[in-house]
Amino acid sequence: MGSRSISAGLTAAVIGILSFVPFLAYSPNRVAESGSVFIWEIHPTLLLISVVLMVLSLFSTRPRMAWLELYLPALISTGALLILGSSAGIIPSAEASTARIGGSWGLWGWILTAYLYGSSLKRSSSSLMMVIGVTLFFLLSGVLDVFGPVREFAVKEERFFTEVRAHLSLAGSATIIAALVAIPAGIAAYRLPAFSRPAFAGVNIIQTLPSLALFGLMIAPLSWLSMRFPLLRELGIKGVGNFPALIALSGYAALPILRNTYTGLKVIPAGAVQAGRGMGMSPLRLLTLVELPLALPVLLGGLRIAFVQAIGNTTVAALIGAGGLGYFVFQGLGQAAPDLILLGVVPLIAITVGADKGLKLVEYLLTPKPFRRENDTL
Amino acid sequence: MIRFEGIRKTYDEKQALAGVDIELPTGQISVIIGPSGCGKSTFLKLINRMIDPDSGQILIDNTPVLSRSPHELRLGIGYVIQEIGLFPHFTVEENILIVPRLLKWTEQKKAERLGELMKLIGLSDGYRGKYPHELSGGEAQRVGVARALAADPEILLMDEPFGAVDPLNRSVLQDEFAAIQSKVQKTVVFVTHDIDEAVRLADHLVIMRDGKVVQAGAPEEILQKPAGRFVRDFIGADRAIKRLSLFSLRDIMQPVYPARVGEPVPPEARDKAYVWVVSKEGYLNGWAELTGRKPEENLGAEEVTRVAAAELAVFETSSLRTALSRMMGQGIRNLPVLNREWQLVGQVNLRDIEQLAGSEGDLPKTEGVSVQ
Amino acid sequence: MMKRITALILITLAVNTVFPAGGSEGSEAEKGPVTVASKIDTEGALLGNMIMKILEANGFAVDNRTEFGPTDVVRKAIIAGEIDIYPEYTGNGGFFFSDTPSDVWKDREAGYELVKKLDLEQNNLVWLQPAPANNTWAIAIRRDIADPKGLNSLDDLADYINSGGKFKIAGSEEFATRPDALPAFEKAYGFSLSENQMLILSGGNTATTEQAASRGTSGVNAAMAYGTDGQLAALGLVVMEDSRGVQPVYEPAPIIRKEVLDRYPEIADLLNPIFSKLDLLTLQKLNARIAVEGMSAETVAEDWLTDSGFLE
Repeated sequence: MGSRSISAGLTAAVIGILSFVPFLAYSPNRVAESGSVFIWEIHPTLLLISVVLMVLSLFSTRPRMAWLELYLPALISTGALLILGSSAGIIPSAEASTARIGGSWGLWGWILTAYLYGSSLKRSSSSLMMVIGVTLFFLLSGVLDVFGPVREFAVKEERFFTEVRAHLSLAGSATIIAALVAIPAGIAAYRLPAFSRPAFAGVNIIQTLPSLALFGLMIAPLSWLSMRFPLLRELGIKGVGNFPALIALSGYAALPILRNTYTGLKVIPAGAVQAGRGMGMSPLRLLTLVELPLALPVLLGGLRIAFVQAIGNTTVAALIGAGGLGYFVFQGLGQAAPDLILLGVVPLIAITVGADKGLKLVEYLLTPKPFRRENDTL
Repeated sequence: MIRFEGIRKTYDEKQALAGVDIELPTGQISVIIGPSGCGKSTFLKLINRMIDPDSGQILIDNTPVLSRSPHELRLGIGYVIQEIGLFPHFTVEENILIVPRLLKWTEQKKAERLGELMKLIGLSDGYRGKYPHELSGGEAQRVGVARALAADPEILLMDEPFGAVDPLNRSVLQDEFAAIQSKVQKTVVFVTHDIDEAVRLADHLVIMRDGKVVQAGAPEEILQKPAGRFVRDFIGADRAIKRLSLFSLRDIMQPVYPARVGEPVPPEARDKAYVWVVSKEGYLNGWAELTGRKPEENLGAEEVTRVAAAELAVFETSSLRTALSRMMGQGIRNLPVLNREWQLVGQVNLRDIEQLAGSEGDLPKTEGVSVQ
Repeated sequence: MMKRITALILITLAVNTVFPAGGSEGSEAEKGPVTVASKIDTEGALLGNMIMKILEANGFAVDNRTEFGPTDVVRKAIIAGEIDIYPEYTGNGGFFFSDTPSDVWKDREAGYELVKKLDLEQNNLVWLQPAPANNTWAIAIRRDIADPKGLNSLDDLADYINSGGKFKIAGSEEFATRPDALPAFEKAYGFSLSENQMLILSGGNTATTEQAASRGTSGVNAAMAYGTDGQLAALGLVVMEDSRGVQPVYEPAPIIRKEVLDRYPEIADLLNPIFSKLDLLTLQKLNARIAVEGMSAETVAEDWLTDSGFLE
């Protein structure tokens, strides 16, 4: 009861304070400096939203109103997005087609507060799901069209989806390729201890190379190869684009998979392995019936880690022509357009979190029943 | 029949087995025992080719072990280890039926066999779907034994199988294993470092030291005639009492003629100082004094001194050693003996035990195994 | 257990079919497909989209790889044959062919002819007609300083600086140190900048430097700029004319793989008239619509092509 009141009280206080700092940022065009926009400048009545949210926060501490806390994050987000949506009204008609609104301390502060509060709840997943739902609703309804990143999106919509697809398939393919190499290598390292040192040394060295350098290193030899052997070019093996990106990304994805395969196998109870051998299982049967199934949870964890890391690493792939969400980040950097950068980064974060949670669910489902722990889905 | 001929095995400078020649009889429990490092575990592992010897050969029913592939060999030999090693991701049922599954038995055959085995190890059907982590140590090792026996192998190898179980349950498991063996009659090779366990279970006892067999034979023989200082010391100074473990009460108990309330005392009991009193069904209720009463009179309930059967009585399958222990503990010289259904079937007196302990084992054992 | 693994593999395959690795598909048309690319900057996007639009309108199937990457990546791609055509700058011949005299690049005609010859000989790449717009390094200064003081050219600027006028320029590391960049300006126009008259931005692109000058960040009032930058007007900056011709000439022109041009010689006829019409002011205007107003390069390219009668 005590800690709940504290967090509710803190939330109310933060919401209140942030109502008086610049809430949004207004730019007449894409390159001009943005000016602060306070809530009351949009419309004084919007301050009621702050008041309502503060009251609801404090109300949630009352014994019978405890159910309110589940909805609070979604409500705060709704308030923030409503204010954002209403801000279209302050744009002078002369600048209507080029002006854009961005977030400032207030908006981001509210959203951060909503997220932190939601994460602290016991049923945090449901609460945060509601926030996502609210955000999607606002986005799709067109109310947020003045928002900077949304404006950038409107201009580059088709490209956006192309790059999202490219990004996912690059990261996914890299993970699969890495798995095809690293899982057998992990099994080999487990069965033949002499092999484990060189195997780990190999993947560790790759990890130490900065991604940009690794991509760059790929270009020269692959270009040379594809020029010498036109057949390779036909097959899609060139110095720039998907192929070098895939090689580099697979290299990075190898370590978590190798390490988890090896560790997963090592922590299997030795008694079970001995019993299996002693009762007449061939090495292959032992692997498929006993060792791999018992190592599976850890192994799947390694795949998940590799994929989530790959999503991040793929961002740099845009620099060598492989596309992906990094395209927006680098264009935004080059044009000094932070909204464009956000258009790349925010979906990236969403995809990363989504992939992580989604794969955790898959892991849970594929874990043999005796080993499941209930909190694994979160 | 398992025969070792001239077996030698060296690990890293240490000679684990330095020339072993021995024959283990078919259908009996051979217990291999000795101090740590005597080579007993290595001995066992050579039989199912977990290890191969440096020189010499091992023959199972006159076929050299090396002539068969390890996997094929092991499929026909049951193997129980100290860690138990149940597969944590398989249910009890799946664990037990693993070798039949490897041998591709039909579903029907597997189902039948499972039923048989569950009964054999004394676990109810409710256990089939449980996972190893839900089982106690004793239950788990029973499953381990069932798993080893599932494909009905001729030979069963057991490497300190009850070592990971607490002492209380260990006795129970030893009992039960002996009962199982009496039904299945496998050739068992059993390694342990516990001399009491060895004496209790062995038909054929093999004592090893420093990679060689020091003495082998029936446990009685070894207890009475230890070959040399080492064996004598190894068995321990309480040899005579250890010997008592070899016999069960069934072998020496005296007949008993209990009285029932509301009936006259049976004639055969009338010359004693007191009589045991049972219920209509034969369960022990207590005893009644006979001095100074008319024997033809019906026994009144008020004449009975009630006793708690569990504290006082012993089972007919218990060993003399247990009986002696109970007598000492309760401070009495005469114990009622019950069958497994708790009915009174006999009695045993301290005198009977003394006689046996003093004799040179001239009482024949009625069955092939001794059980407690 | 086997069932679980099979399910996992099937799911993965399914996902990979839905999201296949690789770029976008071309449409069904009679000629091509021609892979059109460009660098990842605003002007590259504009010119690349123009090339795409005009080819598509004339019956070509086009593979869209615009905004592909930075210069060296795009260059390697065309040499490797991964892309077929992209807009490059004549002045870059100085990098691609390093053993050429640096002065030739300052001459518009001579530079173009030289890079055209060398690229054809060595790389089988053909340079089509360039646009008369010099997108070279320049110094831009705030309008509210230039106008009252009547500063138009770098000569005027040199006088202003030498007479103690307040000046601080934001530029990249490269701009500040390369001998043919700022030092060349200083030498030719007779001024010298001290360390606290320069703000070096490590990443250093003109969008950032121009923004810094516009906002007066850290006291900056001038910026490294490119001639055709679209945001100059919107940010209140004006370019100082390079009257002494210190910088190499960077005019954009489409370069195309000879193989592709031989197969479809009409491409030259389609692109040459377009590029000859793109002068400095036009490019600045069009770039502004993308960079400042935030319109898509595709729309801006299409609109202009239509307005100029190249598209219906």
